[in-house]
Amino acid sequence: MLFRKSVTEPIRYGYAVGRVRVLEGRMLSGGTYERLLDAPTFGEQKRVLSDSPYGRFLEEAETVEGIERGLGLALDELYGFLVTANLPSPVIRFFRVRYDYANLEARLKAELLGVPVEDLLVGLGTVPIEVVKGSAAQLPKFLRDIYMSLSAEDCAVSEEQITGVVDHALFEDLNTAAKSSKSRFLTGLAALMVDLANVKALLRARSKNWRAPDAEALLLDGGNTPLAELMKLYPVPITEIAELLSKRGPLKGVPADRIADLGNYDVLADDLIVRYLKRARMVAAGPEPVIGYVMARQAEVMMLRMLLIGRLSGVPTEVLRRRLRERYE
Amino acid sequence: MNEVFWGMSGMTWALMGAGFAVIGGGIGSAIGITTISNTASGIVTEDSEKFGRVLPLAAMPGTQGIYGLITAILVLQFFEILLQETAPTIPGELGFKIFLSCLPVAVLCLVTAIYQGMTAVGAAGMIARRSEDSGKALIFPALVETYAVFSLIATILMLFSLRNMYMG
Amino acid sequence: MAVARMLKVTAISHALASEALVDSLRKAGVLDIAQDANELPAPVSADVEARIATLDEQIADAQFVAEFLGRYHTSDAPFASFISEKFHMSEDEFYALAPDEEFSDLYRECVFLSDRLASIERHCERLRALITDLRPWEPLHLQISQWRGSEHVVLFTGTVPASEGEAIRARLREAVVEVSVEELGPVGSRSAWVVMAHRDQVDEVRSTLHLTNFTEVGFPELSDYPAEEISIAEERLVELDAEEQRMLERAKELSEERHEHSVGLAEALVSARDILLVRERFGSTERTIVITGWVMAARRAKLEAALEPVRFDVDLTFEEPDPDDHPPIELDNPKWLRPFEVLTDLYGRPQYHEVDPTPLMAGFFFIFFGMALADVGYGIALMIIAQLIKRKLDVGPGVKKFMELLTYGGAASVLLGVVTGSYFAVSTDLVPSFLLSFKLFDPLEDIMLFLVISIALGVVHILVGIVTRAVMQIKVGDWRDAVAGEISTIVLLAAIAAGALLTGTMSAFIIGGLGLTLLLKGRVLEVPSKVEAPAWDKALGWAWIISAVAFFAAAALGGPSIVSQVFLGLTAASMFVSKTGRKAVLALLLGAYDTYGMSGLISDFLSYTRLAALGLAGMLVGQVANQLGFIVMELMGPVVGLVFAVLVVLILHVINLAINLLGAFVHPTRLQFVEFFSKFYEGGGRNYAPLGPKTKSVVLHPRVGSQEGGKTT
Repeated sequence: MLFRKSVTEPIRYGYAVGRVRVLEGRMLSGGTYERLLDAPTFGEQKRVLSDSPYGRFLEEAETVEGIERGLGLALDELYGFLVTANLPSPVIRFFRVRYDYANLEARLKAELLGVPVEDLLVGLGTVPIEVVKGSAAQLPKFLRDIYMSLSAEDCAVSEEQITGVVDHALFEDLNTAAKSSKSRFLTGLAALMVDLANVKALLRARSKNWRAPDAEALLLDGGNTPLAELMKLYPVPITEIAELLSKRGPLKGVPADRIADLGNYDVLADDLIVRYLKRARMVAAGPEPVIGYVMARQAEVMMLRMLLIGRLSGVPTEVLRRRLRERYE
Repeated sequence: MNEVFWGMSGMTWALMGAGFAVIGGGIGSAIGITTISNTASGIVTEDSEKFGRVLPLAAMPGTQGIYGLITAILVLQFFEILLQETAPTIPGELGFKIFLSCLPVAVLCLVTAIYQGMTAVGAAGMIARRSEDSGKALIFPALVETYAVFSLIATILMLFSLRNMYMG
Repeated sequence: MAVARMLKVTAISHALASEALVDSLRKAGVLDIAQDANELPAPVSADVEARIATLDEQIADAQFVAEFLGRYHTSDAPFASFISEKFHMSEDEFYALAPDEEFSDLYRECVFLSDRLASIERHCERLRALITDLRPWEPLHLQISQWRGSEHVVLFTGTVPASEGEAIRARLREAVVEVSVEELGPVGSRSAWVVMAHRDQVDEVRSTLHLTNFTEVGFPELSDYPAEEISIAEERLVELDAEEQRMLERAKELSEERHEHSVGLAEALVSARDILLVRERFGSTERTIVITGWVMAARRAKLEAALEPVRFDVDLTFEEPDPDDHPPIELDNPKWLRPFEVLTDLYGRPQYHEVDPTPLMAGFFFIFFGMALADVGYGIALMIIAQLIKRKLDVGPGVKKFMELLTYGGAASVLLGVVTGSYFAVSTDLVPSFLLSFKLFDPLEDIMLFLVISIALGVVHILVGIVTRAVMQIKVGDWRDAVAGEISTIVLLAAIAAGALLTGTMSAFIIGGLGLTLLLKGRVLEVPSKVEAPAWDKALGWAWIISAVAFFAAAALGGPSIVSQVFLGLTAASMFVSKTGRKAVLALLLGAYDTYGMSGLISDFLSYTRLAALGLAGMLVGQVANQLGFIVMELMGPVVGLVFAVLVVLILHVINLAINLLGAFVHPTRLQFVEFFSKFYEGGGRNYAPLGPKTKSVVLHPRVGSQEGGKTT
């Protein structure tokens, strides 16, 4: 079986891997980030990027919205690559579906607060924006069920509840997509993401001194660490939780004080995911290099957004540099 | 000497050996070339100038199929099957030995071609990143091919000795 | 015949003259500029930075134009899809290229065309999708604006899965009294429905439909009859198509006129930027700049001549490199050897003080290639093809050099083909007999001989590698290392060879050789002088060593058994008593271990059998091609048959040649890199890359008058 997989995977993903090998070479280098940091104005930054793949998306951007739109288009093209690279549909779903959930969450919250939803949606998901904001009956089943469950009760749903429910569904969906892709690497990635999200939820709940059942309700299934094991940690003080977490599980080896620093937890989580992805580069053929590339490009877009919008809205270079370091090292 | 060995005539055994060699080498080469060609076409999609550089890589796992063919030709030629009007007399035992002699190529060419294809995918990655390395990239898959060549040598020597022993 | 001698150049000039100096250096094209070692600040002023920034911008524009026009450019050169196109211009033309007003217009037009083409493409796609969506509704004689219904009637337009149609109808009828369903036709696996009901019952209908797989379809931006809307969209498509054609024609026209210029411009601008960027490697003081670099000793005169115009402003010194310098490497071989430099470059050039492996491997590569493709016909074909590509096609200098290498390979194939009597693998009774008189052996009949020859060549090849290493070590004074490493290996191999040849004294040579090798590899004789011990201790050590030598001599020549008893006794004694003795015994054991490590050589030797296998493979497949030709001719009669037979034979031989060519290049190369280089070669030298234009698609021709072309790197 293992032999068969080692034969079929290079064949199935070979084409995508070939393209990725070339495209990797076109990703922004550390030097480009430096030049972006050094560039005094947004116009200068655009010039730095002019011969990169982002150049043509940002050409007309002058405002924050323009940057968002341009980078959105760049991401859209990236997902277009996923389709044309003949990747199995679960893999594509794995990357795009998060935007569907994010859109649904935005719509639910907008309805809760009574504000227009238009500006909050991104067209990167598997479901077109029109459908997400259209009639509930037309939503695809996986979104409709959540929508119904949250709006049917028509009692008071808090924003946090919305986030909780949507996150649950998202991670469940990611897990299913990963499993049906039959890629061990993708399954591992999904499990890691769940683990990291669980630790975050746990720490946040603990810092607010929630009751244990409430905290447990936040935790997601599908991670490598069983929920019962996590909940066993719950009663001890937060610093001790961090100590225990740094000794085993997904956060093994991370200094305890970094785990306990909730403000920067997302940075830490990204680092761990990047560390996981780095293993993908060594694989010659298979889904790993492709997934690694897509994740790296996503991170690249995030970084660019931070640098460009930061510059446009006058964030000092030092602050930007610090944020960049944190993400990159 | 028995005409039949384990229920099959010498000729049947010999042809089966020759066939296995061709089939093994052919399947291996087909899989190996498919593997590397997919990646090569991916690379060329993004960078059409690399075509000439990845083409030799894509051709490399093809040699195992040829080794299989060579084995078959040698069997046909050495034991006087090729282009003959009358059926040759191959004792059953000799036929079985011919069959055994074909096995190194049949098995090893199947396996090495597949692995060579995978190695070539990695090597193609090198070319994708730096065109200048295209010469170096050819060497790694060639290291895998060594064992296909050795299997061919072993098979040729065995067939050669059998011919000298039995066919005068 | 080796690594070219380099001189370290230091040029100090007045800061004001720096522009002229850099310009002269660029024109000379012989100075490889190194990073200034004095840690002086680089003379990169704000002005230079601004110029680099402008150039960056212009390069991006020019590359965009070149890339855009390249899409619509078709080359009429032969084999254009295999060879990246080259553009020829003189150096003066190249440096005169600069973006002008006309180019700005061109850039704007290209941007316009590119954007417009993309937007037409998007628009067309949208329209096509719209038409597909509208198609099922075409028979509906109801304006789309009326689809939501009238005062009393509501309409629901949408699709249901075809298989569930009946069930949904039944549920509707169950829930609502007055409802009618009109089915319009299939949309893939679904069917298009118009559901009509009285407005009073709108809620029931809606909630019933919501519970089913009914998906509403609407075209909020359209208002006319579906059929009308389809024809409007189709008309619009035709218009867009026409516009696209116009745009494409314009793009082709521009490409025709301006493509070459824009490619040249993009590369000229990059070269101009390189000239500025190289300043970061200079050092500067307040008034002067310092440039350090390397020049091939043979081109010193050229550099001096080029700097003649600025000689009053520039102070130029030449020095030999220090031992710890790392000069860039240029290979300097006679013209006939140069094609083989391709192989050295493939592996990586030597270090400055290393030997250039090119002359050492050239002969072996030649023979190996010939063995792997031993056929006169194939050899001649290869020589002709290689020369045609080199002379007739517009290929880069690297490819030309490679083609020269293949020409050598073809010649080798011819040579070995004559020796093995192979002429397009035609069977021997059809080859003229005078040709066969040169034939030395038939590889197919004497397979063993062919294999033995391959291995014998391998042994020679590897010995050359080992001897080279020994010579290199002795040259720098490490003769002890040479003896313990390479010379002892040769001793053992020689002993084995002598033993094998002189059958009567086989054991004498092999045992004697082995003993000597153990002693040499273990550096046993050096032990006493290295150990710090009292004199008696050392004397015991010496005694043991002498007994060991005597032991091996006795074993080899059949001496009395008392020798071995003395040896064993002394071994035991000195192990316990003498420090020197202990060390010497240990050294002998280490020598044994090193000798055991030599068994790797056996697999190295066997590796050369691949040459015979490749040679046979090409020959056998060639024979099959010929036989198939005969079969075709027999089956199809003399006239038609001949034509088809020639065709079949030709195609099969071309394929066979192509595949064998790959093997004949890759495997001998591997033998050089893996088996040969591992014995003595390190590599890792940096290529000599003098300051000058670095072009990709543009080929520069030297100015009229300056004939010194030199070697293109």
